[in-house]
Amino acid sequence: MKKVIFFNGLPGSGKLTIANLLANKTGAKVIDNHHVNNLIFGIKEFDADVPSFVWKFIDEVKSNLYATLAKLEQTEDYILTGCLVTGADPNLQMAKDFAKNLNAELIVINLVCSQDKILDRINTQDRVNRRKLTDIEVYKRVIDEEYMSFPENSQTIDNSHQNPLETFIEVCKILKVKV
Amino acid sequence: MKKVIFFNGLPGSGKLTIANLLANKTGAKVIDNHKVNNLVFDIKEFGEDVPEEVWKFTGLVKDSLLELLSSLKQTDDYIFTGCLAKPTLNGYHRSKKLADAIGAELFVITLECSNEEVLNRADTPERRARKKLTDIELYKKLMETKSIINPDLPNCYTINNTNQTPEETLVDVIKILECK
Repeated sequence: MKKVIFFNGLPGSGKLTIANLLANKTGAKVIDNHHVNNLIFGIKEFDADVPSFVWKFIDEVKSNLYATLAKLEQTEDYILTGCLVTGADPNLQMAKDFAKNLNAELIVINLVCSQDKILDRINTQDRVNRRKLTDIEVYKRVIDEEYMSFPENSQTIDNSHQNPLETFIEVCKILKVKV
Repeated sequence: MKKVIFFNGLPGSGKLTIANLLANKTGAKVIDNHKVNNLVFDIKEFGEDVPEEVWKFTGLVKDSLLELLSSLKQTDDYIFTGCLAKPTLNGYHRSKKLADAIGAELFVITLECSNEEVLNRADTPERRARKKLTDIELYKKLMETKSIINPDLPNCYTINNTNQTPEETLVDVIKILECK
């Protein structure tokens, strides 16, 4: 059965790194959260204060993108990344709808990582280039323990003390992909 | 006065190259046609036959992106790139709409280039990375079937850059923009 894998985690928790490793292994297509975000973040910078109507625009584009992709002939698995926040976050429902339209199984994997490790990883040139959050002060201000939500039936990997390859192997076990 | 500049031309005519040079010089924001198209093209490859629903999606996104930009506080000039061809001049209308909404002046600059020179420039690693047209046969087909339109409207200009370096073309562009 086809799969839609959603890596859920805070900025810096390793979502895109692991997504890319998995994509290299399986040929799945990666749609990371910045794929759509950067449509506007590549034109306008908002720092941490992205207005809600900008998020609404991003959500609409994402939902339309998924719907369009689902209409096309499909042979691939998809890997989505993002941080599901507590409260009304439409991204989980979007992923569910996408999987349903593809007749695929949705698997949510939460990546958790201690804050000091995240702060070590967060300010890299790759992240700057991809317009990801790199400002430690902003990170500390915006993100607390309650920020991220863990959906029902999801699986969690704590990668605080792992290198990407070790995390990747755990992910492969969950997905029953031969390493 | 703020400016919105639309670079019009066939694939390989130098739109994005000139747009980026101009942006480096002026700080204007570039929204090239592939910025939206690659939402899909980065994920799926289609070759010649891009399904209708994909173009429908990219059209919708372009409209809503423009609406969003119109509603934000503006300090920037914008540079668009695209290929204006019949039956619709969607790219022109979108740029015009943004220019009107943010109180900017719209310039359309069509870049012309001989077929021979376009084919010389057609297939580069940069073009591949940006998911642009690189297939020589497709170029030839386009050249036969598609004719570029320089709209008969105020502030529309044409530069033939067949024998020019990008820097020389940039000088021409800046002359046009500064004349006003």
